[in-house]
Amino acid sequence: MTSGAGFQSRQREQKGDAASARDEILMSRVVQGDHEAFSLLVHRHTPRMYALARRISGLSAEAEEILQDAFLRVWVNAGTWSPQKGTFAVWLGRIVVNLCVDRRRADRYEPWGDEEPLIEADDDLESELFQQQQAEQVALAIEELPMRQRTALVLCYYEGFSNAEAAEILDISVGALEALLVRARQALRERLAPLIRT
Amino acid sequence: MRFTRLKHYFEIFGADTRRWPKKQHGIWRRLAGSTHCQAERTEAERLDRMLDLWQVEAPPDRLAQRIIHQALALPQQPVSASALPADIVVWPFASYWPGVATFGLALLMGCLLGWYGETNGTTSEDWLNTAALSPMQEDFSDR
Repeated sequence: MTSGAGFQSRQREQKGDAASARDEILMSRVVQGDHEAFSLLVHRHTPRMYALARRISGLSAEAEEILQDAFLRVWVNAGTWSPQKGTFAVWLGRIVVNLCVDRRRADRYEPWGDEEPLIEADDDLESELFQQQQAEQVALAIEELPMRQRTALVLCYYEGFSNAEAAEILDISVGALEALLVRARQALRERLAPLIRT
Repeated sequence: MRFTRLKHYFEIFGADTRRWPKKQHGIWRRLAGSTHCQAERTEAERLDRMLDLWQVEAPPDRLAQRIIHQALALPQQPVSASALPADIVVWPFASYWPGVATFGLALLMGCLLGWYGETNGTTSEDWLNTAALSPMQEDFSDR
């Protein structure tokens, strides 16, 4: 079974807790103004956080801006971070999700250029086109979900956050998060029923 | 009970047990493969296949560099109290102390007022003593 890129990278990270421990050590150096530690953190978390912002916001240009804004906040407000606030990934995830929500509340962002295609063309054009259409329908169905349901699904299903971490990011209980996930999957099952049957 | 929870997990996290909670992961994985929840698993697998179709592109190569370049040009905010080293003692439950101090002050004021009122109360009650008014009574009495 294929999974989201974020989920797979998360699986690799979880082979040892060393990665998360290094994050906290790096962050303590960032608090002291260490440029190299900040660069390492940015390179390490950009792919996953970009995917998170991209899936919630829906646009690549907007995701780039959100990620940029999030890391600028991390650098400027590094002094407010402490290990008691949870892991760095959860803290950063919360910043990214909050920025996505803020942008959703504001007027819909209009990109300057055309959006990049979701999937690049392959040899078997017909099959590829069909798959691309299906992927677009899935993306549309997810985009139509209420914000909290969509965010919960993206965090847990696509980006590999545990239910406890996702609950912390959304500032809700684990039970409430599970309820959001159940409702999200039920809604998607109904909306994607014609595709699922084929 | 356990199978009810198992069916619920399919609804919450999908068919891939790697997404399930880590607690008692081995037990759930074995149970998920049993025939008891065949329908739920099949249903979850179908939806998972659909969800997996939605892939997003990797971030542009220049993005991380651009972020680093822009961020490092900005000054950092000073370190807050929460980031102080461990050897500096910070009072526990710091947010409660103003309330406790206010309550203590109010209690002290109450005690002082009570004590003051009690010590002066005797004189005022003496003033109201009708026996002390008896000379005045003569002025108002009908002769």
